[in-house]
Amino acid sequence: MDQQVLVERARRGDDDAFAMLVSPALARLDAAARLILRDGELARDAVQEALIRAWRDLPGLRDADRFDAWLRRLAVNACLDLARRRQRRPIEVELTVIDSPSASDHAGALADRQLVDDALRRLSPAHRAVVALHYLLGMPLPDVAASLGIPLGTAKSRLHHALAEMRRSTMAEPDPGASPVPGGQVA
Amino acid sequence: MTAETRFERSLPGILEDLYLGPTPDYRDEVLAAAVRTRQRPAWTFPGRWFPMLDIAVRPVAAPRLPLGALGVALLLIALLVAALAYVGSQQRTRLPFGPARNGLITWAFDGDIYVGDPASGDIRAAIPAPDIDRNPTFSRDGTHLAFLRQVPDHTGDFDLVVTQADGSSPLVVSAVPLKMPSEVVWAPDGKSLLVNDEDTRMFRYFLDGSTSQLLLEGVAFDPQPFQPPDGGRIFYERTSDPGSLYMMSADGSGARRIFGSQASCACSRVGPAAWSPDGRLIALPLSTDGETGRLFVMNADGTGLHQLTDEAGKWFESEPAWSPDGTQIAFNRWQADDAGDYEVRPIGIVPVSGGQVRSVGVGPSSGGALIEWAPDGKSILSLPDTVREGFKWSQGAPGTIARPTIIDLTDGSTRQLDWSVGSISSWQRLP
Repeated sequence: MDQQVLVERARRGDDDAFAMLVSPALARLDAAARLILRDGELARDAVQEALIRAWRDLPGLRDADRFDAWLRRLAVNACLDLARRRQRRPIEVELTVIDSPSASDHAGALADRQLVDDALRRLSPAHRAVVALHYLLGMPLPDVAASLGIPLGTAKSRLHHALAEMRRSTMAEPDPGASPVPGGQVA
Repeated sequence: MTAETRFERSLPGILEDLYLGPTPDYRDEVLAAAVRTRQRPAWTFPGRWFPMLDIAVRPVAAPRLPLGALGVALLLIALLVAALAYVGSQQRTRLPFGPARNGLITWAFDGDIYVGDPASGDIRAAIPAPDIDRNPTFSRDGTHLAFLRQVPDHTGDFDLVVTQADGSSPLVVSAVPLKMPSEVVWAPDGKSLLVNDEDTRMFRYFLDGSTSQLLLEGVAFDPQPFQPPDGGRIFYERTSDPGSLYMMSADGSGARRIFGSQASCACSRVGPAAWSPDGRLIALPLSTDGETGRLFVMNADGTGLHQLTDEAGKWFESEPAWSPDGTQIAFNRWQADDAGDYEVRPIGIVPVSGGQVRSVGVGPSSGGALIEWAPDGKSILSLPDTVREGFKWSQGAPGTIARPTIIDLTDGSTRQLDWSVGSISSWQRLP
């Protein structure tokens, strides 16, 4: 069913329409929330808070086409609110169990993933939010900035430092040379 | 452009592997909790009955220099200093570097390559062809044009094509199509081109038909890697050593690290580096605290690293661009407010000898500007940084459309050209 129709129906209190609207996005919102909060229970709380706000404030959404972006923003802001409120709570890391490695998996890739995860743990929730929105939810950087209510320059700066941290973690110590090709070869 | 590219492309897959699972098992529970909440009536939202405008970034007019108030004597002194600086620069820089006459500007839009005269505003298609062409760049002597042509029905595969400056006599110099090249750079002598492809390989192609060379693998380079004036050395970054700078001879020999983690400061590189036109210095943005970024300058051998900019407050400065005479550096900059959020500021220009940063032009788009000095050094071409993204990521699509702005450095004025530009541009140097 058309998203605009679902939004209109949900605005008028149709909870089935609301469920159809948000269900396709839940897995990815949950993933983003776990990335940002590093805690499965907190992630669930954040997603629930986002859905409550979405349902409550849906009649105020002026542009139905913006529903998905609006929901993502609510979820990320709920994450950041929770992170601020629970700054002193010990962090419990819970990752999705991957049933079986895909065909492209290999030991190096698995190690990379673990190193990326370790690097993300060292970042602040605000930095992880930029990573989640840009790389996990696929939002262009200007939209990331708008969603978080920060200038684009700030988003770029945060993304740069997050990437630098992750790259530092995944890159081994430099080896002596960068695969020189003596004498060149036919391209 | 840098080693970030490869890592960035793999990151969404890594994150999905790490975090993305099936629809969470708490779905029904959280949905039930949500719809138990009472919805706010529409009329309680001001935006439903009050016209609310989106926040817009308003250009900030740069203050005009009060030249009139300075008096004739000061003007004469300035002219004298400028003349001395010009003479001095002529002694330092050698062709094909140093100031030159302004020629045409070339760019790509919607798969076609155009040239335009910034003085008259006239434009024309430079390469009339049904192919998808992009990333045009003039050779440093202004006599040739190189660009990428997508292989028909093979999105992401490109031929490297060279023509005369007027678009005539096209020659495909790549024997095998290139995979999504990120940089195409002319050697200073105009006899070869350096290309970085998506597999982080560095190729060199020759116009005389010589066999092309794969120089290195696992590398990325910045927009201008050849050391002036003869391009005898090339700097680049190793993808396994992010933030580093390595130098090698143009034939691929003698590689060595000139900047990295064991540099003389506890700092990391936060953007592309740039050669001075005389090839003696390298400008690069560094962060010493993991948050701010400042412009630094070092000698070509990696020694003598020192900070160039020191404006009060927290700044993130990046993308240094040397003036043709090598006396000034233009760069993008963002300033942190009290909350620590960085707002874009007009392009800054700082004398290489040190001194205050001068703001020029209006505030660029929030992602910063692609800065290109006019060959005569009297103005700057500014394009939104977003056109670079359009080229890199929107294969086969026109990408972002932007209007270039010319910033006149002699009087501080700006004018926007009514051109539709969808790529990085290149300004032709004329003798």
